[in-house]
Amino acid sequence: MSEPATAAISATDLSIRFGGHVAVNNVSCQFYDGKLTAILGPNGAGKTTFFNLLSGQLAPTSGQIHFYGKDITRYSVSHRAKIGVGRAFQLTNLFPKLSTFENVRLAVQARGNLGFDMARLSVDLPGVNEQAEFYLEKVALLSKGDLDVRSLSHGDQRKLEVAMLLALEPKVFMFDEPTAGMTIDEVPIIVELIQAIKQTEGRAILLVEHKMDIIKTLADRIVIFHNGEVIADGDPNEVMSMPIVQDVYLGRALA
Amino acid sequence: MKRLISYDLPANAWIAALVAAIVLILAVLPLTTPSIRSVNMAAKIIVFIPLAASFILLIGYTGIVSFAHTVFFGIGGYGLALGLLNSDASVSGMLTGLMLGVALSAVFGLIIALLSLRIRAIYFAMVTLVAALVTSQLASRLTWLTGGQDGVSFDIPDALSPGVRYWTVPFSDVPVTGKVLLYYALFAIAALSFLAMLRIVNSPFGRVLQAIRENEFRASALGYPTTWYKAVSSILAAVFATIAGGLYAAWLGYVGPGSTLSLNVLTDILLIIVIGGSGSLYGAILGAVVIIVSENYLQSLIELLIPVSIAKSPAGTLLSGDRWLLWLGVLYVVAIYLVPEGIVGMTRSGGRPGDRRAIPGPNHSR
Repeated sequence: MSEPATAAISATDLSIRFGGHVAVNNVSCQFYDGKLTAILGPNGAGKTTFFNLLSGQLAPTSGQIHFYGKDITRYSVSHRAKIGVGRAFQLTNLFPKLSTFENVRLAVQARGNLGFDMARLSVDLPGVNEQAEFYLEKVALLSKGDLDVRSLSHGDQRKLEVAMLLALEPKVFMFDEPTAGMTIDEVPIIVELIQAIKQTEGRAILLVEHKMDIIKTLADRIVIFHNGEVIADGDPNEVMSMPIVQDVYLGRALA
Repeated sequence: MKRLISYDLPANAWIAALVAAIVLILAVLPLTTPSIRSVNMAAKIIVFIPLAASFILLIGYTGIVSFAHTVFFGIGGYGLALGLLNSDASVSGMLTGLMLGVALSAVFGLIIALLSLRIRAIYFAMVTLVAALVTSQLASRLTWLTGGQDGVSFDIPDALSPGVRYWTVPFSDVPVTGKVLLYYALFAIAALSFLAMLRIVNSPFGRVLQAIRENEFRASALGYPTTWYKAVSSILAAVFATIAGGLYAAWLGYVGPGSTLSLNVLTDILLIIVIGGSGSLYGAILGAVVIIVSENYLQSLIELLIPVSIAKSPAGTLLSGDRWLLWLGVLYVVAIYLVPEGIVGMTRSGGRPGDRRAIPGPNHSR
């Protein structure tokens, strides 16, 4: 078909105001299957707020959000997660007193709609435990499955965050600085995982990231936020060479 | 056997042995001793185990701090009592009354859960405390229905009354009366309730409750509609507390504000889960035994240990048996300092290798 494909997730004229401050201002942006979009911008540019709007933690002041053509602007956080809007959080956001394994199992059983099952035991669920182990293995945390999450290192907690997102098997993946605070040798495993999601699953991926080498490796497209607005959107090389981008972002970053 | 307890063994072997010993003693007690006092105490323990366990389900697993739990206990008691009074002490009347009580509690449990969405933390706890006090006052004032302060005395079905004698235990010469039968009915229902709750907390549903307690924000981001989970948890806790209330009334042949709705009952439940620990349902078993045995025997124990001459002297008044309540308070404070997570929590904070908090890494962004 010649007509453009429906966007996996899209924002239309999306704005949110906190009192007099406009955190996201009239943003329209479409994200497509199989493409990884890197979202850049200085601190306070509105990237995380934009994520919060897409995944439902914040309700927009105006504008709409569509998921494969369906208006989900009024959907609750849990409803959006259920239909496939998946998000990994920036500040580690886990279940600290539960085991690493349990954290992932909670994601697996959420996808399987098993949450209200109280007649069976967690240990008996067919497939669920195996899948939880499978995703732990993917981020090399299987050996730490029995540890409480609060006892994991920061890097391991970040990896677990990614494993939980993978375990949800969402249709749209949103990563908010997945490698922040990781040691150098922990970064490649995350980069490879994101690469694999893009190539084998063909999902739409949104990535907020500051590390330029990661963006160069992964991004098909770059969107630059500044003061709540999108000031550039397009091919990575083109966007990075735009004067306005150099002024706003790289200028400051390299100064 | 492991399936029966949902693969949820107490955290360490000593505690498992203690729990097993308690269950065994409760199971054989009325066949070995004719002492009404100890059997009454054992029955109270049997009733308070599922009651405290249902509170742990709510507070320990879901993280809803509600003090309205005595309301459900009361509804169960009054439901059973009114059912028996209006049916000439028939078993069907008893069950109907209890079931109506369960239904009423479920509705009230739902209201409590919905309330917890509107009002946060400490304010919610205060609102539920007021709800408990108001209910207690209502029960004292609605004399036509509840018998007011005096409560309701009623006859239990004949088969379960002390007057009926079935058999005599050969070795101990203890008569097996209807009351003993009632004891075992209590034991069976309490055990089933406890095992049902143990299964619930170890089911996928129970895991979600723990997730909500740990991080409600994240639980909803995984796709769990947390409101409904809290509502169902609150209803379940209410139902089990109602059943326990019915059991207690059946044992006493009486229900009144003092036995089910008063602050004393609430304090008992709170003491049980503080001493026993709210991290595991087994805390209810250990806590109920410690608290109820102390309430019954601490006075005698002090009198036994402290010679009368000391207790009678001016300096020794604090050591007299009459001051047992003070020492229970001391026990409580010491417990909070020594075992903040209760007896079942004692071993958990022990020597696990990774138990020290992780040092958070640097965070580059806001």
